[in-house]
This record gives sequence, structure tokens and C-alpha cells, in this order.
Amino acid sequence: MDHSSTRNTSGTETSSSSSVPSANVKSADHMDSSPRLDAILPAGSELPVVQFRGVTKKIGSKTIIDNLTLDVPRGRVFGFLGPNGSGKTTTIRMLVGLMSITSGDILIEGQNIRTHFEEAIAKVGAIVENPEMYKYMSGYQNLMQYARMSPGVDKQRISEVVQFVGLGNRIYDKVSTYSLGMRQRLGVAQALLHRPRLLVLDEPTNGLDPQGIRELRDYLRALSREEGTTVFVSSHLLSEMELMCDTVAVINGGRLVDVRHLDASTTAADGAGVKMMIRFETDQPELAAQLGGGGLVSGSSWTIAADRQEIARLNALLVNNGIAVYSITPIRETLEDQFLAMTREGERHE
Amino acid sequence: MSDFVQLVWNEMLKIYLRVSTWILLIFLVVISPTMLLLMHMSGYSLGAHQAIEQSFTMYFLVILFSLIIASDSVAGEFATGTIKLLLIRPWKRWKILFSKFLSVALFTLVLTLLFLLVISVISYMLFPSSSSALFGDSEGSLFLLLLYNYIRALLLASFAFMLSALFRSTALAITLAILLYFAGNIITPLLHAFLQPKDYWIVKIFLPTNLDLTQYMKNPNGLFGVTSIGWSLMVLAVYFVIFMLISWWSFTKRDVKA
Repeated sequence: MDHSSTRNTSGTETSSSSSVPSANVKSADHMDSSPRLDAILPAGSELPVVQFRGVTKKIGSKTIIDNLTLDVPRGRVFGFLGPNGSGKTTTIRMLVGLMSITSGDILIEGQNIRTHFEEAIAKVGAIVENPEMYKYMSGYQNLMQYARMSPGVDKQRISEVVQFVGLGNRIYDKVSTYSLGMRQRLGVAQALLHRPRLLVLDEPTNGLDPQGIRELRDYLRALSREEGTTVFVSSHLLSEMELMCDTVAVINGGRLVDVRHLDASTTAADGAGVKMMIRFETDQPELAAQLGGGGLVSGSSWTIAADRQEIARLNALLVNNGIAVYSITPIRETLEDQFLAMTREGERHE
Repeated sequence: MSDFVQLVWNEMLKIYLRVSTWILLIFLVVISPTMLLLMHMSGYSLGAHQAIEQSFTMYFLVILFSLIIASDSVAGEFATGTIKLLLIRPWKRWKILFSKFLSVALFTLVLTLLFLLVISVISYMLFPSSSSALFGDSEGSLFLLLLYNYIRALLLASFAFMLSALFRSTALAITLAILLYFAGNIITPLLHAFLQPKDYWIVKIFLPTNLDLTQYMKNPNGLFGVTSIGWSLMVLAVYFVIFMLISWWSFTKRDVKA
């Protein structure tokens, strides 16, 4: 509900193919205001919440981020994945204006973070690395600090947010007495105070215990589903990304390596005609391999490439020949395997 | 856009919600009157007003404590990492910096007024012999004494504030600021003793020799006889602008990597 009304009120639409190539970066400067975008860009798809346009960051002679062009679509949990030192944090710092951009532009809701910082950042809530708070203040006093800095955040909103992250009465205790999990919750609370359209989290699961990670995941899902907030989350933990994100962009060595939709890749693998590795656990794996025409035998399992129809056919074949089938498991190539393959490739290029 | 006053209020809370600040304040209240107690014990007969003026020797406490707070103002946020959450609010960096400087200037003012209150009360308690009213004949001179000392504290605080923004290290900022303060106090009499009059152009532009404006209460041409109150105020203004420009550049133009 909230999500769709958001689309209508923003009223600004563009196609994702509108990202300006790096050669035209300079000209992007004067087309960053949304009314003009409205006028020039074709209707039909909505304005991405974040547009990276040929973003480059150099420190000295070292190129940290190399010509990054990427659109973050609305209402998604968007993962930003890469090994340590790949430029994730640098990208996030440029996104929230903590670091300057050497060349290129970052637009948030169509507002350029470089030229319209106040307007652009007002739409963003973020935790950059750890949620560091004023330890000598209570959680509530910390939230008041940020509430005073954003228009339209009243006491009512603060209690809403405190309730959402479940800090309860501990909010009145000094932050120095908080556990890491509670600090993370307070961090999420400060990021949500001003109802941002975009929530940016840098390595949010660092140092959290499994319960804390699960809570965080639930918050993010709830936010994206119920409030239509777009979540941009960076991590080097693939398993986490798989559970949290709809879309994942993979970065390595400062370059964008791949963008993929997680739901799409997994459903496609279930479709007919797509072969994947299937493991049959049986009492006679050698016989099964003989009947099924090849495959790999190890222990009590027999593994073979098959699509959906073939799985059913093979199962019937085994059962009809008196082989007991205990389990049939598809072996999916995980995101992790793909990720490792991609990042290794990236390294070879350098 | 929310009110700029809210920003200054935030910065003041960051100073006054800390236990360490209150320890400084208690220190100031306890130690400022020691000079008066010593004079009282050695049987000086002074008027309360004279006693207050004498007590300004202890004003260095205000300067020292101001330097501590000023040094921590920017650097402390970098040390704890809170700077990252502070700078991602819909406020331009220079406005945040300005709110921080105002909070430091106000803190120095609070210390100055607290100092005045404490030494006035103790002076009247220990030296009640004087019949003169609190700000009797020399009301003007006491006000000037307070103002000149405050200007000096403020300028040193802005120096510490600049170092805080430049080095992003509280320890380094405190050390260098206190060094400038004490070295200035030592070098000025040395210059007075050994510097040849033909080289007096140095003292005209040297910060420490212009810092102490109370020198013009004794001699309108200053300690060296070559400056005036107007000249010194101008020199201090130039230094102040330089300190502010460096703070501004450090705070607004550089990347945050903390």
C-alpha cells in the first residue's frame, strides 16, 4: 500500500537504461533535478532510488572505485557484495557524502549528492560500519540528537521507532551498558527516524550473533515490504545476502562484476529443461548408475545431471528395478560458488 | 529545515552530559579561590574589588579547561566514529562546524562567568573590609579585565579547535594548544628582556605578544611600547580568521575515513 502510493507521489519516472555513460559524466551535472528528469525521460518505468553514474574514486594515484554505473531499483533489498577491500565501504561513503567523488555522480531520488547534499541526504538513513553512538548518553538522548537534526521527527515518531526495533525501556539506559546487538538496534532506530526512502547499511551483520542477524533480517524485510523502503546493504557474507536480498550487485577490485536477481536465478533452475545436479540416495548406487546411464557414485549416493522430467523418470526407473530410494536432492550451485568464481575472474584480469 | 539553534543545543548537550565536563567545573570552583585563600592567610589587607582583580591570575584554569573541550570538539567525534552519523544529516558540514564552534565559545563563556562568580563570592567573604559596592568606581576596569581575558581564552580555544579539526586527534590538539599557551607565556618576557628595539616588528605580528590585552590597561602602547589595543585586536582578528579558515577546510573538504 505504502509502496504504491510512494510511486505515485514521487511522480518521477525514468528507464533504467538512462544511466549516463562515463564519457558524458560532466553533462550529468545539470540534469540532476527531478522536474527536468520528468520532462526528458520516457515514462514507463520508475526512477531508481539511487543512480551511480560512472562513479570513480581515486586516492592519490590509486583507483579505489573504477567507473561504477549502477541503478538501485525502488522497494528492494539490494545487496552490495564483495570481498574485503573491494571498495564497498568507499562506495557507501561516497553515497552518503562522507567521501568526495573523484568523477561521476550519485543521484538519490534524482538529487545529486554532490550539488544538492541536504536534499539528497534527507532521504537517506544509514549505518556506516558500526553504529557508533554517544556512549555517555542514553539511547533516547542519542535518538533526540538525530531527531533535532531532521525536520518532522517528533516524540511520537521516536517511540514508534523504538517500538519497531524492540528496545523497550532499555532506551533510557546509557549506551555504554548496551550489548552489540542492542547498539545495532539503536543504529537501525536512528537510521529510520526521519522515514528515509533509502536505508543504507554497511556490513550490518558484523559481530552480531545469529539471533541478532536474524532480527536484522526480519527488520529489513518488514521495512521493504510494509513501508516500501529501499534497502542498500553491503556485505562480504554471501549466505547472508542470499537470505536478505532480492538483488545482488557484485563488486571486486573497485569494479562492478555482476548484478543478479536472486529469486529469478533460483526459480529458473527449477523450470523444465534446465539441467542440474541431482543426488539420489539409494541402497544400490552402482546399480542405479548402471541403469540411469552414467553419473557419479560415492558412498550410498548417485549423482547425475537431470531436468525436472528426468528426475521423475529416473526415480520410477530405480523403484521399478527394486532399488530403495531414500532421498532425492538437487545440488544447487550456490551464490557462493558463483561469487567465488566471479571474484577469482576479477583478480585474474588485474 | 530544522532550526540551527537545535544544532547548537545538540553540541552543548555533548559537552554538558559528560561526567568529565562536570569534573572540570568542580575543579574550577574548588581551585580558583586558592589564591584568595593564600592572600587571606598571609594577612593581606585588600578591598574585595582588588581581591577580585588579583584573582584573575587564576584565569589560566578557564583557558586550560576551554582548550580541553575545544580540542575534543571535532577530534572526539572522529575518535569514537560518531562523526559518520553526524555528517549524514541534512545539514551542510560548515553549519555543523559552526554549531560546534559556538558551543565551544559558549562553554568558555560559561567557565568565565562561573569563575567570576566564584572569586567574587569568596573575595567578599574573605575581604569584607572594603565598603565599596561590587562594581563601584572601577566597574569599567573589571569589565575590561573580564572581556580581555575572555578574548584571549576564545582565541586560544579557536586555535585548539582548528588543531582538533586538522589533526582529528584530541591528544595532539590539546598538547599543541597548551604548548602554544605556555610557550607564549614564557617567550613574551624573554622577548621583552632580550629583543632589540629594531626587531620589534616581530612582536607586532607575533600571536602571544598580542594575546594579553590586559597589557593596555597599564600602558596604552603595550608591553613593548610599539602596539596599541586597536592594533592587537586587528592582529587577533587576522589570526582568528586564519584559524577558522583552516578549520573549515579541514572539516568540509576532507574525506571521512574514521
